[in-house]
Amino acid sequence: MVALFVLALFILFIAMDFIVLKVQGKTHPAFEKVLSISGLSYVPEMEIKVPDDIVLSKGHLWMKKNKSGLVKLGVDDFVNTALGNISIQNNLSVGKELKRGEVIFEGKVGNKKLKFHSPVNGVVRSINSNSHDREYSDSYSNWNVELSSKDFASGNVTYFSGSEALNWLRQEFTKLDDFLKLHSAMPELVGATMYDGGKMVEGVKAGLNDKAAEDFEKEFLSL
Amino acid sequence: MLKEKGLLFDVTMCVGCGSCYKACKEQNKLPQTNKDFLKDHLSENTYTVVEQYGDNYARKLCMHCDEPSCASVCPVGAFKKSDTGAVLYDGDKCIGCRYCMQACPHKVPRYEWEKTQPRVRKCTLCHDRVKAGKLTACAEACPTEATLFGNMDDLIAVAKKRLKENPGKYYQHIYGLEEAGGGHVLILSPVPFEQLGYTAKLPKESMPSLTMKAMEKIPPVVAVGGVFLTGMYWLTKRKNEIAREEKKSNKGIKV
Amino acid sequence: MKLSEILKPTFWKVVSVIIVTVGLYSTYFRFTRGLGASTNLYDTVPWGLWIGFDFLGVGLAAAGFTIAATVHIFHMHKFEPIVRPAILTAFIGYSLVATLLIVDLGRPENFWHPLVMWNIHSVMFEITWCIICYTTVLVLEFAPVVLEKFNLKAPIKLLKKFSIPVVIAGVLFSTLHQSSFGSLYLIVPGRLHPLWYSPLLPVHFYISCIGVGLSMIIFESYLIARAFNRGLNMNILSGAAFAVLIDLIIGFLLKVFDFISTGKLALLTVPSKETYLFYLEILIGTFIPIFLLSQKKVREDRKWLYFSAIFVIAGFMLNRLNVCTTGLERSAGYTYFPSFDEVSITLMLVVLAMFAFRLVVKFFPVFEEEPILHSKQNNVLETKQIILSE
Ligand code: SF4
Ligand code: SF4
Ligand code: SF4
Repeated sequence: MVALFVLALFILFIAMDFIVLKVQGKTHPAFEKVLSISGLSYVPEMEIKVPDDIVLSKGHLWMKKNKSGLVKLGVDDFVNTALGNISIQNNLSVGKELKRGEVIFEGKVGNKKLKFHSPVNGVVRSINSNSHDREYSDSYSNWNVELSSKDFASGNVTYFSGSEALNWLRQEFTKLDDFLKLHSAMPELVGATMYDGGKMVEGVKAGLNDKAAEDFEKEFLSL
Repeated sequence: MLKEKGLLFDVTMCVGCGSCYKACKEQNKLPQTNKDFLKDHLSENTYTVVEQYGDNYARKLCMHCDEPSCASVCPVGAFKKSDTGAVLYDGDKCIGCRYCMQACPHKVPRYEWEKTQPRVRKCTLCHDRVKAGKLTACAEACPTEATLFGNMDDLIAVAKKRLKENPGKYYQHIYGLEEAGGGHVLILSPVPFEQLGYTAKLPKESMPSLTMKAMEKIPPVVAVGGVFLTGMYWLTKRKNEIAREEKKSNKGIKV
Repeated sequence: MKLSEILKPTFWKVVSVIIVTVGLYSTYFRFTRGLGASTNLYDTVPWGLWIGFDFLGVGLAAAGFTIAATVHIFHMHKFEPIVRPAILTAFIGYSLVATLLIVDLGRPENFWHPLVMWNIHSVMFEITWCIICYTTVLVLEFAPVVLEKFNLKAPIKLLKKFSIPVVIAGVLFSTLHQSSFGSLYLIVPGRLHPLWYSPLLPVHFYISCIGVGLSMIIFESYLIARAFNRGLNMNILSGAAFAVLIDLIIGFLLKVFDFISTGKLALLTVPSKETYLFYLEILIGTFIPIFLLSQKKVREDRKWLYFSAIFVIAGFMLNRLNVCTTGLERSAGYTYFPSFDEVSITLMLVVLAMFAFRLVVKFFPVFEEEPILHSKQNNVLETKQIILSE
């Protein structure tokens, strides 16, 4: 009897925890949607999450609609993984009207700039000035621009969410792997570097090559 | 050889008068717990009871084991076997873990649950009286000599004699002689002992020896375990070093 | 964290405060009125929920020694990131057990007696000493984390020198007392139901504590991920899950061997409360998790891994409580059910233990390792930069 009682208590607490999280609109870590990447040659093994309330656009910007109907935008995990420490620069001002496909901001990697395109038509409502010191591990809480947009609601945009987003990201990472293969000038060096746990040899750091930057934009950042 | 004292209780001679019950209460200054002594049970205020099973009456009390479980399990050694044969308890040592109560094969020790500084309670084989050369209070009070006090070897002889002389009257077994390693309270009965509420089917070996079998393994486990772990430490460390060296040389070839 | 944030009521905070308040009142009641008034214990059932929880606490904290041995003795450094959480869990688990034991003692003011009054034949005596020694080991193992925080290098160096002997001692002490919890019942063959009584009880206890200790680490990783918004390192957790699988299989085979060699198989067909609970325990704690964990997919899936860990833990709880309550009920002739005070004090201590864990994690570098996502991204970033440069 005591055994059953304690067991019931244990299960009750676990169940209650699930319910509490559900009510709060959060996901229990056991139920988070994650994509684990493995078996690629240049992209290391890792896990990528896509929160339930996030949608991804084809140009690798994430969008999240908040209660007041505004849409926050930011750079997704894929870009952060592939490019690493990018700093976002924009020339927008609040109130500016953006057309779908127009440049919304630029990301600076080394001394090269990559253009990101707005996935929706909309009006700039606010700009996050703190977004520079982003943390890699949390792409989805670092937004860059907030828009008010009608087509986000009307469903005129191609975007991915939930498991669809994970599937799409998997394809994108495979594509990235091929891309790296193609653009890699020194495969042995890269191989050796990866093998040693990714610690880079001092002094190899240099800027992006123009061609590679252009190709990356075309392959991954266009809508 | 044995000058140790004990009790022999003969169910066939017990008339169920409750004299032992009352004498014990008086001797140990225990309060009244039940108007009808036959309905009472062992408790912190009752060290012995007389139970009725049809026409038979059976006394229950501590068996004063030769190798008492209660003494063996007590982490602080609060139970001791005294030279008179009694198993005695020292309340000043006791921490109140109640392992003695859990371990006793006869479920004898009782606890003062209602007190904030509780003690374990059980029959003392009237240790003070016996030391002073007297009988136990219960044996003295018994009008029919159903409870007999004496030297252990005498009691065993008496018991054996009764079994032999009256094979029809007795169930041929001296309860308490070998049960759980044997003790200082022997019981004779006309019926099998489980019918009188005694814990039957107890193994003959002493209970503490069951634990000792496991405890004996501690030194070898520690020794072998220590050597094994140290060995594994060096082995796996060496293995990793070799692997690392190999890795290095491989890389050299590649570049 | 700002004060306002601390005071902000969340569901679990409110529940915890209620549990602790009620628990404190029960504690007061227990110490002023004694065991009789506050518990449902009885002369033939001298051990109840509290002792049962001590069994659980010690078993669930077993990862402290297994993980330390895996990393420091067997040099499997993949598990390095969970060494500290495991040791902290063990330390807090043991503190909980010690506190609960003191609450349970009839004469708590005499708790120090085993230190000076020895009875080397007593399993309880051995357990007391092993637990004291092992807790010291845990303090030594965790000390570097505290010293790191205050940047004291010299003592860390000193501790490092002795770290391997300390880890080895920890493993030995754990082996002894984990199994000795089983030995406690060796002396009651007539009382413990034969479904559980076995001369191999200490071995059963030892094997099952390893599996459940690791499952607890898995379970706890989810709690940590949830409370501190951290990622889960599935690679490590699946590794641990595989070890749990092996352990469960060994444990099961031993049980089968035990039942066959002592001729207890016939007992399995006797319809009784004990038999049903035994089946439930085996089903939940052995069959289901072995079935689940034997599939690679499950071990690598976060949802199923979580449920598997819960099954192992639940099965373990059933097993220990079956040994120390269900299995003894029949011979005691008294059906014990814990009193309100027993339950509330236990819950209070569990809540306090979780709170202590949170507090330590907040102030000390328990998770020294960078979150896995982070380091891997750096890795790619740098590779990438090499590639794109010519
Ligand atoms: S009967 Fe029980 S209490 Fe009495 S001596 Fe034997 S083990 Fe101890
Ligand atoms: S309750 Fe007292 S006498 Fe009994 S085992 Fe514990 S410390 Fe010893
Ligand atoms: S020997 Fe003494 S203490 Fe024991 S039952 Fe008889 S009278 Fe009571």
